[in-house]
Amino acid sequence: MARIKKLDPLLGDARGRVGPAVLTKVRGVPVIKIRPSINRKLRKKKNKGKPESDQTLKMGLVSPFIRKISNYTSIGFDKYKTGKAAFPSAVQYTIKYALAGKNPDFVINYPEVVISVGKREPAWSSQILCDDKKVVTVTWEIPETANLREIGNDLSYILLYDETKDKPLLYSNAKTPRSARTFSQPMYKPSFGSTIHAYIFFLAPDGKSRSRSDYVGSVTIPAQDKNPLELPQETLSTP
Amino acid sequence: MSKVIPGALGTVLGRVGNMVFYLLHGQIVGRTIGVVDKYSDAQLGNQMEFGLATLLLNPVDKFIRAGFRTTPRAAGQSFHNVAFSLNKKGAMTGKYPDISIDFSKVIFSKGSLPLPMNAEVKLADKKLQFSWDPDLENAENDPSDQVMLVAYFPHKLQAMTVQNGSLRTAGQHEIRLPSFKTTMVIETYMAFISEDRERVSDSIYLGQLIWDKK
Repeated sequence: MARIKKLDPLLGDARGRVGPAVLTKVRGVPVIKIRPSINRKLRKKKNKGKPESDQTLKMGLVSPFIRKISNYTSIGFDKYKTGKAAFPSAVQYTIKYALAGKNPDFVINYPEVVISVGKREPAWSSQILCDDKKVVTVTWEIPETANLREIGNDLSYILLYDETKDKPLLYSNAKTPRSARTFSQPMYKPSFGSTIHAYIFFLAPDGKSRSRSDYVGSVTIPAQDKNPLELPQETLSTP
Repeated sequence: MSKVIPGALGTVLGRVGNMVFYLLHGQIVGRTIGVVDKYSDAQLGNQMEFGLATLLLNPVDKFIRAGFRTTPRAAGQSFHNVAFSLNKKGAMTGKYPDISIDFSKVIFSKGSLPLPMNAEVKLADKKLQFSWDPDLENAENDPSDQVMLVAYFPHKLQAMTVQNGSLRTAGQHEIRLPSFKTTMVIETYMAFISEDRERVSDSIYLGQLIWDKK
């Protein structure tokens, strides 16, 4: 892989494929690389019918999952390892610690998923509740041994992940400080009947340190109440 | 890792073959670099001990900062290096791949103040109740010394630490626990620190407690 200098009059702003070479940008740096010699279509055809390897299955399961929550893993795994981007770090971590099952039935073990790693004071005794009005509330505690003046203004990052629909439902996006100790969000019709997993971590106001994420728990949003007028007549109670 | 002393040929910095030279705490050091295909069991054991020691010390960073600040150490070493070295060598038990932390041997502070006398801990009403004998007959102890406490939760990899607790003369200190969702194992430690923060005692292990929601 070669880097392209911006001042290069020949390849300065070129992008795309030129013969066997591909001009692209990797983390903001313009590079030129040779196209892979592997013919993926041929390989796929050749391996048709054969069982897929463990690693292929794991990557196929974890990569899309991390991509969906990359808004947070890009913060939580930023500079986790020198020279390694946040995305592969998060994928590697999840494959190592948060997969369950055996080939070919690998599944994501949601309670073991970590979306942030760091040394800052983590969330203690976090809980998730869903009340009758379908409002999800995430609460956490600050231990008395912690210095509230130091960590009270930390920004909370809460992720609600819809397991049923297999997509993130909500990013709290640092609107709530740690000292608030609670975060509420009403649930709407598309989420009714879904199982929601919640994760929380904190980021220092200057963005320089963050806590390890905590798995808050899971909650199932009750299905939508049926309109009594739509119910069959015999189920309606008579005075 | 080797140290490089600048000589007549100048200073080497950067990579030469599979060796890399760089500045570390003001010294030029050299080490091998590159992908290692295979590790021996001893190497894997060392890596595992390294990982466990990191997990052990990360949550108590503030405590060991106070606990090892005045501990004698080689030039260029930090408080963390001392704590890491002592615990990696002394608090690990078993052979690879069954290496684990022996919490009774963990050290969170090291110094010249006498050890706490008759120290104990109880779990009551969601509180950890630490108590000790002030032992003011010992001339080394001062009434203004303050207690330092650690409640370590190995399953959560979290810790509650107190660096400036009650005075030695108080004889007790309480820590209110958060409301845990599940049964929780708690490893407890105690040490003392002088008022001017220049002297500290060794930490002592007070035992394991189990918090049950029921």
